[in-house]
Amino acid sequence: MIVFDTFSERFTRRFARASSRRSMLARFGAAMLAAPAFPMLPVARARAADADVNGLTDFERNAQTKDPAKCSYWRHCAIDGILCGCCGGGVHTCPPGAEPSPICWIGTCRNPDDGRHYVIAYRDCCGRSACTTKDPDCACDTNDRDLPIYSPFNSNDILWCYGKAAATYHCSTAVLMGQAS
Amino acid sequence: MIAASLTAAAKLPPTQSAYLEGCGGCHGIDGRSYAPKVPDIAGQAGFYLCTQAGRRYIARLPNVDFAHLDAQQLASVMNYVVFTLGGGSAPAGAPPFTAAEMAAARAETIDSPDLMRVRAGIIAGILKTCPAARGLLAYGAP
Amino acid sequence: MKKESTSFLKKRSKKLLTVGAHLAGNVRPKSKSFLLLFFKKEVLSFFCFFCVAAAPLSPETSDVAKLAPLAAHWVFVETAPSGFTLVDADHGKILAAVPMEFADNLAIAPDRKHIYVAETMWTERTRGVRQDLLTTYDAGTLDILHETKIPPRALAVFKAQDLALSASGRTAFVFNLAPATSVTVVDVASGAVTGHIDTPGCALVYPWKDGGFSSLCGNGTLLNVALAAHAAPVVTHTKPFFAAATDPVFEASLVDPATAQAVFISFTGKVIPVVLGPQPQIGATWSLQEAAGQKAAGTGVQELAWRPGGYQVASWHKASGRLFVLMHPGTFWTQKEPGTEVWVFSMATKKLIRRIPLKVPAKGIAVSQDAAPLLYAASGDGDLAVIKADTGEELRSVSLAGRGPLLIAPGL
Repeated sequence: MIVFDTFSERFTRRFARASSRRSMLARFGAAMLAAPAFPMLPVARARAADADVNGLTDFERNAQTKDPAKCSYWRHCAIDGILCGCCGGGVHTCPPGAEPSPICWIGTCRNPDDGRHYVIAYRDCCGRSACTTKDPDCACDTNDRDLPIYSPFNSNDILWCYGKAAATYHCSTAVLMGQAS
Repeated sequence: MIAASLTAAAKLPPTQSAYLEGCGGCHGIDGRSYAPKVPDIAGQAGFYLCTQAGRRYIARLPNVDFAHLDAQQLASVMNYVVFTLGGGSAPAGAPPFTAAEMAAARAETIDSPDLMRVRAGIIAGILKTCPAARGLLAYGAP
Repeated sequence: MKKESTSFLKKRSKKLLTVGAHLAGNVRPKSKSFLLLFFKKEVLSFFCFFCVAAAPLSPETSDVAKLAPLAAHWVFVETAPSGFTLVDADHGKILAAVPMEFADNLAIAPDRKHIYVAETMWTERTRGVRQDLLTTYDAGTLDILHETKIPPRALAVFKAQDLALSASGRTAFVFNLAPATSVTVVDVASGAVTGHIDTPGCALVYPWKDGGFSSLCGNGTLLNVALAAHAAPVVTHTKPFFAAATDPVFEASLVDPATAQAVFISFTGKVIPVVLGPQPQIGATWSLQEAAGQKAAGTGVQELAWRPGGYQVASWHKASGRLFVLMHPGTFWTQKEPGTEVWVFSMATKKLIRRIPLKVPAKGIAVSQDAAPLLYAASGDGDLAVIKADTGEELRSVSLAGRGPLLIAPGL
């Protein structure tokens, strides 16, 4: 679910997050123009030997476990929305007046501290107009393992608002369900 | 407060993990979410095994067959749904789903422009054998 | 003194402009018009100093503008929640706006005489009774001609395929996600809901001529619904033709209702042409990267390659058979990353024709269908670049108060 008033901020943030990759790309700029495909990034090459980080997505390589009110918090690997923790709620708490939708979608994210994957319920808080904030860390468009809406159980573009309240999107939570197997 | 029946820190059993990732968002963490909009599984799903037509029906539902699981995993999830989450709704002695059964079901997914009518017909048949299955009518009720 | 205040104003406006470009597109036109007003006053007083006795000004009456017939270079830009803004891309001017809320959809009738909006609202704004409507607008006056009550429609972001018209424009299809999936069929002339088709496991609407539509399914197939006037719809499935879990096709794939030709593009960049119908004909798959002389991209999460991405990720120029795709360098699972370039392909030769670098990365593109086509690229943040599709030359950039990357152009 994408949010109304934070698009520019999110846009900026997204680019900021990708900036390390981008600056590396810039260094390879000349090679890229000449060579049809990309050379393997030095980081990827260096880490390829390390089984723990090999095979991690861009999000997973930058994920943190300290601040749940930031997009980079590990559970937000496919959240696509505005974090309820920035709106008076929390990572599993709706802000006052909003209703947790009884229906949601469920994915998995990797915790960088223990390297384990956990099952995360992406539950939207609904029934109030969208929460707005200018904090670029609060709007999140991450898409690890997010699928199109013909696989709705893995899709974050849907306004997951199906309760008694109006199906207006307020903000997103990422509720820990347990360790995935 | 939405279903906090999961135990802390325990690794989820593979079947439960697969159920959550593929079904639990809509059908609820423990099989109950929002009955008018999504069919309850808790205390209900086993009733489909009251008739052969009911058993065939739930195995051939597109959202079952399209799960990102192999036939063996899918059979395990189906058995978790009807016997565990179904909470005693399955008739005594009903055989579990097998991988072969789910593989065959996938080859003949239901194609109907009126799935709700198909479902109503299946439930009418079930109610003749298992009158306790009336809860199945909650889904789609006005 | 006046001079000083002018330069101060200019400075101030310039500052506002910078802020405006970053934050809210609507600041820019406001400050500009303010400046213009100031200048007009200056000019006016200058002239009046010399010519004292001008004819008195005539009184005015309030009236309402009308639109000329929808032109090839006009495009509706989703600017939620304020509306779909109609932009004259040749002049970079706003012509009108059609009201909308977030996740509403707009479609243009094939004869361009009507505009349809599928919309959702509640009787007391965000509470009360939910109302879903298919609303018909006159394309010249933007008067509402008809409102059809429809079942609760799907609420998902940036899916033009939530609402589709048949080739003749007689039938509208609205996608529902309750969360069970279905399609509502509306006869737009009478405003009657004529059908409700369950599409279990399948989503969105890709119409074929006037006989029916297809939906994409979670097992990598198409569901095909053949509609008949006085008989039950006939439903078929294709065989799986894409990997729904590991390399799914974008929702924003393309279909031409007039020919039933569809083009599906996968996350890694596989292109699958399909002629839709009761028994769709699935064509040979080709790769965007191979068409550009590169290695086909895979699904590696650390595999850097040029990949398609964004929301309205592709468009085409049907008459010349050119496919336009938003591309960015990235790893797998960057399928919504804004495109930094638009790549132009010949669908006949399956070769790259041109790479168009974008000044502002875009989340949505569309192409006009005339002989001198324009490429529109929307940042999803209010910036709309207008580019000459034949050369890649950026003609102008339009700043809107827009957010969503949906672009609806006539004839697409």
